[in-house]
Amino acid sequence: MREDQLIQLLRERGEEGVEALLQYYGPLMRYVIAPILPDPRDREECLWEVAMRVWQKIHLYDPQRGSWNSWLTALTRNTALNRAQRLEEQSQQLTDTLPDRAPTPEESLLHRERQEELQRAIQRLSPGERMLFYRRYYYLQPISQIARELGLTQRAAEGRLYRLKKRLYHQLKGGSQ
Amino acid sequence: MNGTGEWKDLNQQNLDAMLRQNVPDAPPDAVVRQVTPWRRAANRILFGLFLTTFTVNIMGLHIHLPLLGALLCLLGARLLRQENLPFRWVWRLALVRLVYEVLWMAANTTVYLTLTPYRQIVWALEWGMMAMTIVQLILLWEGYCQVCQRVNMPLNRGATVPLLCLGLLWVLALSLHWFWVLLLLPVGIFFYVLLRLRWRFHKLEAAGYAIQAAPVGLPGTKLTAAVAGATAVGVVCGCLLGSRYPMDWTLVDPVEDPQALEIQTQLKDLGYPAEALADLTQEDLLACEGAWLVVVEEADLPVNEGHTVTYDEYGITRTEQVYDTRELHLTTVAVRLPEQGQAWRVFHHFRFTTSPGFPGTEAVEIFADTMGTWGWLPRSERQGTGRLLYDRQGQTYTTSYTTLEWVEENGNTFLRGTFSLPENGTNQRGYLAYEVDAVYFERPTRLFSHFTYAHQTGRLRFLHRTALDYINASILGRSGPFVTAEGGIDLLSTPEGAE
Repeated sequence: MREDQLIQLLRERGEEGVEALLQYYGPLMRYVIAPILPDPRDREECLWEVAMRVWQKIHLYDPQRGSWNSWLTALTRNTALNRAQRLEEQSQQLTDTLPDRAPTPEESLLHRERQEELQRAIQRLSPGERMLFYRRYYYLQPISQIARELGLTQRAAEGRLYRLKKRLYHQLKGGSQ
Repeated sequence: MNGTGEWKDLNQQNLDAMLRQNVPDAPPDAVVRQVTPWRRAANRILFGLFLTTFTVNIMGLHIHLPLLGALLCLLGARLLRQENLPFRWVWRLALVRLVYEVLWMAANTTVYLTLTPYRQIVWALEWGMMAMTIVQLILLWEGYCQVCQRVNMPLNRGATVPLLCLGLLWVLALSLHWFWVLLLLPVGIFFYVLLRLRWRFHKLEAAGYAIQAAPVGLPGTKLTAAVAGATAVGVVCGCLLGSRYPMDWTLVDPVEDPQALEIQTQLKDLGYPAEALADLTQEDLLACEGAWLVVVEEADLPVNEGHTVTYDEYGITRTEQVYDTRELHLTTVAVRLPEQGQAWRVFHHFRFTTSPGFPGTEAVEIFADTMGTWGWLPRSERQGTGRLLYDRQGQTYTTSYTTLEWVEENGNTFLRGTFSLPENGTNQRGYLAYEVDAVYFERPTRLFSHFTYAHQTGRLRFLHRTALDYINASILGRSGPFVTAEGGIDLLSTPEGAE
């Protein structure tokens, strides 16, 4: 099934769209979810949650802003992270003394500015370093997985990541002084 | 310095956490395309298979590109080797192919591949490697189909049919020797299959996310360095150990046949140079029975580089290559035979007057008209005789040419011989001979017999393995470790004699 056909099915709000999404893009979604949720049951539940969110938010997908795979990857990752956060909160005992988790307007502004600064730093990386950064800090993949998929030994992958972090640290820290 | 202090709280301990928290909301499309366990491996395998199969015979690329392709294929295949059985076999075959290409590179620095006993083996290996490529493509496709089935992704096995057709065509061409007839068809199908496979992999790329990449024990850079090192060792060994033809030198038997000795005296009286005459075999002497005319051409030619001399002539600066030594003495002797018509036996002698230098490969070529193109036809079945000789400690040794064969090219015939000179000794020499008869014996016919000698001056060879390769490339003069020298005879044969 072509990508545009799938998107059309989803926009028509039919069940066939969700089935086709899981059939053709299930492996991609599982690939993104796996490093974030270690439990297999959580992964499957998250997969259905992602499918529902795609079905609900398909109207927000704009091909002009990015590819379908990028949009789906971002949606899947955010859903998995939210689920992981919920699971973490459920494992803690809630009390009245816990601080409000919602960011303040100042924190939101700071977060946005940090993102922009980091984005600029990432753009200065080579394509290989950029991919390594996203694998580690966006896809949250373990070193072992990164090493396997790039055809490196674990030690070589750790070395590359160390140099990358060092470089980013100096760029970001130096920009803040 | 950039920035306004957003990262002032950053330190080594919280670096990871802060990077994770502030990563961009969505990855770039280019990153998303690359972050997959499948794409990198598949691209390497497909491109590697392409390089191993389609090469160009320019600047040695037909040897180097397959080695590079085999390495690429292995680097890609090893990531998939634990996914399923077909992928595991793709990896195993890639390993075999890499070992073969390293050995092939080393073998190409030796002279053995050009020798007749090994040509059949070379032919079989080349066809075998082509078959292996087809098998690898089929296994690659089958492996990916199994991945799609595992994740319940609908799949149309369309590429299997063209792949099987390609395999069938290969077998057919091999068995019926229709290679040249079917060359374009398998090539076309192979291109189609490669492009089709790549398109299908792209369309079904989502299934590739289900592949579990296998860990590697040896980094790609170290593997590449190991392959380069092994290849270098093989090449050095090939250059050192395989740069000469194996020659079987024996003491020369003196001519004892009274008739042959009488013919020898007659030829000498007719003007045949004594030094060259002494090298003829008994059979060659007997073939000149009744000879009544001898025409001789001699030349001294250099095989060294000489030196450049600059001088002024009428106000113009000119340069000229000057040779203080001319090591190669060529003697061409045309012997008129006593037959009705115009029958000649042509001898091309060569002799090194000083040490020939590096004892590598040598080659000789005679352009002889035996197809009637220029008015001559072979006189007898006995064509292409000759031998090699040298002296050592007062003894003369002799042997046959390693290869001596007639070759037809573009309506002309060439007699080509290959050999290696001894590493010691003096007066290294040899000759080749053939016979022709004029098509129209009642009228004058030009007899033109051109001789080319290709000499190897150094051990390091790149584009041409042997002196024969150099001659086959139709290169004259000096290029790299090879140099040619030319001579011959050009006379007008008449019923009465020659002019």
